[in-house]
Amino acid sequence: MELRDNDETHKYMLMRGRYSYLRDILYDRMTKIIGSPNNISHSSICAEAEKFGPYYTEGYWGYRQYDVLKAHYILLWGADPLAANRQVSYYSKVWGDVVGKATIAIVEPRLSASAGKADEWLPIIPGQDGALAVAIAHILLVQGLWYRPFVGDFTDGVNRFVPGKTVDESGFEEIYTHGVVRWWNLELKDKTAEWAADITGLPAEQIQRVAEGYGNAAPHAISWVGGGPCMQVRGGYSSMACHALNGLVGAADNVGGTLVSNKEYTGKFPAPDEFMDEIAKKGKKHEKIDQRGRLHLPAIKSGKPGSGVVTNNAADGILNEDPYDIKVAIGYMNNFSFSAPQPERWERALSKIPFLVHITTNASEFSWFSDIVLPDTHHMFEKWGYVKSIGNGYRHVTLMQPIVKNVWDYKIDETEIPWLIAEKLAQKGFDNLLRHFQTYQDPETGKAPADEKEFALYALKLVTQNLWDPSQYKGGDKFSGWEEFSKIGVWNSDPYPFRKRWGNMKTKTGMFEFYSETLKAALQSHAANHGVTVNEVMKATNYLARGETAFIPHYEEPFTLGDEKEYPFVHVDHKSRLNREGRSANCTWYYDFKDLDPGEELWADVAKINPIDARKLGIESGDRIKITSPTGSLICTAKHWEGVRPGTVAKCFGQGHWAYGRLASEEFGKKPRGGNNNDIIPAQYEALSGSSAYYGVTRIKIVKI
Amino acid sequence: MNMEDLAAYESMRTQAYRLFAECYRLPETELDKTVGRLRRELEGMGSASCTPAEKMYQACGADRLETLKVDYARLFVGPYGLPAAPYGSVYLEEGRKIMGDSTIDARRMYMEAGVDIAAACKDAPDHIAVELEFLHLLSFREVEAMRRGDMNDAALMIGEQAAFLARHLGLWVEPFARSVEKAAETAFYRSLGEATRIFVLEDQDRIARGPSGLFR
Repeated sequence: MELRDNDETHKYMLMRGRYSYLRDILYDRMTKIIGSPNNISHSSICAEAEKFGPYYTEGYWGYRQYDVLKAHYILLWGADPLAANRQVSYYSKVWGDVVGKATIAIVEPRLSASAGKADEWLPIIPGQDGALAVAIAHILLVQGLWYRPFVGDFTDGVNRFVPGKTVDESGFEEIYTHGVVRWWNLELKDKTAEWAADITGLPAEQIQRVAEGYGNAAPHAISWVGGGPCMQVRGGYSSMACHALNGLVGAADNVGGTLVSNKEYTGKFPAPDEFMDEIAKKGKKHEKIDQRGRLHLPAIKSGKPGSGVVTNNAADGILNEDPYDIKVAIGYMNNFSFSAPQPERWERALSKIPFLVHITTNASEFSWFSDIVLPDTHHMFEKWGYVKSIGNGYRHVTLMQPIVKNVWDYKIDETEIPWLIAEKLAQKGFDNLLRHFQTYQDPETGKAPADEKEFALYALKLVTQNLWDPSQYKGGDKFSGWEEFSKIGVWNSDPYPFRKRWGNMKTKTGMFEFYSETLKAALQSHAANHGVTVNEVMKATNYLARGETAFIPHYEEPFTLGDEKEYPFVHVDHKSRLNREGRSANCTWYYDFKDLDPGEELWADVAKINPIDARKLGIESGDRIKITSPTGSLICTAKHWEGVRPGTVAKCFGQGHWAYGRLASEEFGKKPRGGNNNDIIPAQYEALSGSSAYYGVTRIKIVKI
Repeated sequence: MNMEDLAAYESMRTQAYRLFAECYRLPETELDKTVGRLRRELEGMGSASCTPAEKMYQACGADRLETLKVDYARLFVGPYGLPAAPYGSVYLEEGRKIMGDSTIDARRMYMEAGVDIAAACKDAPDHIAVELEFLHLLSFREVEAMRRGDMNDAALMIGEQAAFLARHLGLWVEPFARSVEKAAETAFYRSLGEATRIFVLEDQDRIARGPSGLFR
């Protein structure tokens, strides 16, 4: 209320971590009606740059699903389906069959769980994925392995893609793609296997073999883009280059290829507009605390400059009071002071906020800085909500329902808590939020919610009505009503409509764009916002591309911090198959089964060093070592391991908690168990998507202690 | 002690259990009145816990409410460390367990006495305040029985209190209260820990001497 009295509602901030799809109540509606622009999600410390490539080639901003059981070749880029990325449970279930049916090649500096069972492991130099991707594209075109029913062909049927030679665009008739010849001329014509071999550190023969194997499997040939090549400072174009291979082989939207989400029919919550008074409207107009949309941070999600979040930069916004100070903040199911690169900035930023609230199931490093910790319900047993997932060509909308009695007095984060806050605000004279929430009526009875429990249930019934109400039926599973839906608990979509998007993609041209008119428009729009050229945008965002190259998938040298002489190794961050969103570090099984991750040790946090490198340093397995980057250091245990490329050191993310429970730290609040990778990862960004860079971003040195 | 004096003593005792239970709830503005009453009851009983209760009274002014709430949350709620977990099972079972077998046993004893945890109570059945309240209930029934001259019923109620203290609160009050005394940052909670420990152990000892000890 003080913020309202002082016209400072924009100084309220909501930080979102893991969520259900009732998120918009707390995240969007409440923030807007209070009058703040600052709803900050975790998305850009997740994998936004991974979505960049698919969006600027085929107009899809989201995680893909892969038709793995019908694929003949699967080329994985920094993705380990058995450990991380999406739908791990589904891929773990079917991967045994997939290994038997398809050729699998995996590009990653470290031998991952999936790589251990792959036909080809390409231990690439970190950050050089784009070079490999354009070389594979080059080979596909030179060898005539592109999928003609999708891409089209030369009008006379003669392949003119000859290394080093430009091609006349008018001689090629595209069908469902746009700009393949221009891509060749601008980027691909000189990118031979030999050229890529020098840059990637991979044998030219292997590059040639993988490219031909992949092309021969067209169109059932998946190029699976994980976070690895994309969540890098210059990863946006690698994301495009790796994903563009799906276009060349006709795998996009095709059987045995890469698929988007099936359609689902959940609805939206009532609009907040009429409950936003003048104070709120004025407050919401302020610039966001993460500084998105500035020249150096375009964050052009879905083609709109400044529409993507730059989560990790919010810490700097708060610290520097730029554009202003934050006075009140709520975080829920997040732990930015551990999970974001250079987390000490978050520690200082959170300490600076005068009133900070954390809603969480388990106290964490974020809670440590909070004035109030509100215990959250457990999503599996105590919460109303729903989640959406995709896999195997289907979409599932799954209900979360309270099935046990709460032992203590804790509330549901996304529904009950905002309702109770709304009640308190109403008591203090601001009832707009409560009146808005009262419009969430039970679709069955028309009754307005009278308390937080009714509100949680009615909100869920309201947004899922199209799924369970026979009179609103739009597709997929059909139910007789809420009772049956809540009993079954899941709605399944219709099967995937293959090739329906061919010629109808949400790009500027409707086609799969190798020359991205969609990205061109987005970059031009951002440049115009700042009165500069696209070249100046490229420069401000640390990209090397100039001119037309900015609009095509292309190779960029990686941007890696640290002088090679002082920091001789490149850090390779990776995830554990036991991490599960990072919330397992206080569980004994995390440590008891840690060797399920290749190269890992039980009850230890190891940095995996190639024995060739380790011997030069006189480091043995089991030695305690200090790893230092230009921005921080951590202490862990050394492990000799051949499954990591010489010149790189791989360390799994997940340990290094200092306030996450009795087991997660060696001495609670004082001494972490293991080291947090984020302590050595600098706060750098893939600025076009706003993503934090985790991979190929820093060099490190190792000292035995 | 004649019957009238005994009933008066038992009446103070039952009130003391209730007031101690209230002291283990989140402190509210009426805390000083609660503690004032507790001090008087303990004084009336001649309990050695009266001295720390006096310190509690000195330390519970309305101006200190915010500080007391913070200390309460830190000691008994969390989120970090929970230096004085207010649950019996944490002391009676291995691994600082909550909602363990002993918790279920405490609830079973409540149900055998014809009561259960109120729906509005958002806590485990073996929370210190719940166990103290249960002893208040049993001792209250004892006093009622005395007042209607039903000494068999009164003795039965005393037996139930003895059994509950022997199986639950009496077993863990000492380590719990010592933790409170050690970890509290306010004089109020330090003294509450001390007063609780002295009072409950004193009472357990007295009851353990059996009906003959009471009706001497």
